[in-house]
Amino acid sequence: MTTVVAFNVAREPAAARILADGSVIWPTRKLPPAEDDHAALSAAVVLADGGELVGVTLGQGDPVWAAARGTTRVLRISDVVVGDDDSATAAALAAAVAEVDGADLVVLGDSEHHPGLAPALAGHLGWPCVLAAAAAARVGEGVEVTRRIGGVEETISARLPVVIAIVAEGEETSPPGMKTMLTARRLPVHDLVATDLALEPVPPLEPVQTRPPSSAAARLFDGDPQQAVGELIKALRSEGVL
Amino acid sequence: MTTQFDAEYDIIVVGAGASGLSAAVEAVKNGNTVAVLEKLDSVGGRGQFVEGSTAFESAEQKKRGIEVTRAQGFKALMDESQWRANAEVVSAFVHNAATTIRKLSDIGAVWEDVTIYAYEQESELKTMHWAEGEGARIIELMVKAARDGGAEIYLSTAATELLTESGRVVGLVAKDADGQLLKLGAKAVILAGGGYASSPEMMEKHSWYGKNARYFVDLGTPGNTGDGMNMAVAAGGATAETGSVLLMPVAKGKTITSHVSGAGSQPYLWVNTSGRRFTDEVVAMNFSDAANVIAQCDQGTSFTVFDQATKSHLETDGSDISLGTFIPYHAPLDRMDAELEQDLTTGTAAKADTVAELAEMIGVPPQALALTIARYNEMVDGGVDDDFYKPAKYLRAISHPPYYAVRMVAGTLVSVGGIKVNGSFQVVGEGTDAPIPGLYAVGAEASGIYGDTYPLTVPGNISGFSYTSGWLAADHASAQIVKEAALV
Repeated sequence: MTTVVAFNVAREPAAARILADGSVIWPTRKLPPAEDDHAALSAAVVLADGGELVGVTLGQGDPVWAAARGTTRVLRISDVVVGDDDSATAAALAAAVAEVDGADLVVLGDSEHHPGLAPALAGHLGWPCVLAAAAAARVGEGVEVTRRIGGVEETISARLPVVIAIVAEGEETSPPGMKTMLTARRLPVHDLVATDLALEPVPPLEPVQTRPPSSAAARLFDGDPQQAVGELIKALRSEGVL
Repeated sequence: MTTQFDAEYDIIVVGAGASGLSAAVEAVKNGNTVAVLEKLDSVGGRGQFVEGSTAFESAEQKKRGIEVTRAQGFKALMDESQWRANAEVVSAFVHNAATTIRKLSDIGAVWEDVTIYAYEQESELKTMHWAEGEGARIIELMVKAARDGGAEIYLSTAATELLTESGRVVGLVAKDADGQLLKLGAKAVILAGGGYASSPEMMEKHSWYGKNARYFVDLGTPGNTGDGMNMAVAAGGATAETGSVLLMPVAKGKTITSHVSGAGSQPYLWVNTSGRRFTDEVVAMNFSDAANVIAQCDQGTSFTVFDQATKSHLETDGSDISLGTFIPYHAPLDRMDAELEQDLTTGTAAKADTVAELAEMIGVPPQALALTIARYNEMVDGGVDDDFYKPAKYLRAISHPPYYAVRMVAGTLVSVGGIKVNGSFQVVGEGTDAPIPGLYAVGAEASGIYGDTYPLTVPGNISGFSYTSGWLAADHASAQIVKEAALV
């Protein structure tokens, strides 16, 4: 009976930088925590109930972030990076979970931008999956999951093993302090590589085209014609057209 | 004795605003381990409210056919300071500001325009680079670039004391989000706390305005409490031109986007608490100078008086001045009535059918106000301001009731004097020209490019200076670290 929490496994658009030429720069070293990750970790701490809580992550995951929030050890597949291919991410996570003895419960953030990740992970594991969870607790041999959808709160009982995807209902209220973060550096991290887990290499999805968001709307030059033409020429110069 | 540290970094940056983040981005780019300590629970500080950024001879200026040379910039800044500015510091800024624009482009900034700040302000140089998303977007980009480079950013973590050994700074003491104290080692500390504008005590003690500063309204985030200056002084650092602060007129109790505040900022009739006119209100064109005028009034307070006809003019024809993106030039101030519903009850504004009643409501002598308005209307009729020489187009009669008065005070944007630095942004020791090894100050924490006040004639200069001084300090510190490592 071991609780696993997957973190830093969803690459969210807010993490990207978009340059003037439209190219997209994703973080290369550490992926910022996804917006639901802190809630997933809080829920996982409750579910672990003082027992072992194993964090699993991929190449850009930050073990210190998780360790400072309650994981007892972290298992990281260091040469697999989080990209846009949720099925590949899920396969790698499933392989990592399989390395954890007695794992019967996996908690992760229910990413709005990667809604397929938790179901795909459950599919790889062959476990059921509860999405959109707000909170969860172990009850007897199973878990009780609370979720709020459309103003209705429902409680779901699930047997183990199960994957639970947590939705954050707000920002993290009290992140750990610097001293706790520094202490967390000393907690164990077990780095694996894909070949350790017999993971088949998956070619990354490569975007073939990007375009700016449609909100970059047309600009209207109206009013006095002479002034408007002047403004138009100025704008064309500013864009490098003239 | 060697201090035992909880953690050691190459460079620690104190403050995650415009200058601190610029320093962090450059420091990690140079291969350093970097921690950024931010005492607030969010990044950005007053850098979030930046509108545009000064540069000279930038690629963005060149492609728009704008020519503002470095020499012009240098001279303008030195002249504006009455040559009280530090020429080394001004030169470093002027020489490198264009590189700042390119560096920010490299991390994703898109420059939408290069222009001036206030229309009809003919003396302004076209130096203001407006970024898409303005300062908040730049902050976002710098945070991402710094983190991606490996910088650790700790929020709710305040530096409290610099640690020194044999005259050099070797680290600092910090208090983290849980209230725990840490000793952190660093080969260099860059102070980027943004000055002291959030501290009423320091404003009263250090700004040029003394006790009147008690009436100022702080318009920024609350973290700029002068910690950097206090720590630097405690470590033997010198200060310079500490009195210089960047102010902006604002209606008491309002924000700078308020339309009532916008009306109060117009170059119409301004009176003091004695009910007398006291200046050429065309100073309103330059918000910094305008606030300096108001700040010196009794109780740091003035009243902008206008009538119903002028109110209608503002609602339909729009603002006669530009307050950047807050109140654009000619933007109709059509939210006034909605705001006045509250402002008339709080004393921010007054409305009356007679001048005497208006005077009573704002607490000025009725007879004095009546005489002032009579004299003003006389000059309006004659089309010439014989008292303060305001251009005739801003002479608007006060003759159609109801009459309005908006209570104006000085709002503090940021202090712009503080720690004395050299041209490499090293903190200079008190009583000596020698730098304190391992200690830097940047942005509004540093002094050097201002004299008495903020010069709007070079618009965008505090943000341009903050970004530029940040990365320049990081470059110098990086080079020192490499040099010192080679000596070991």
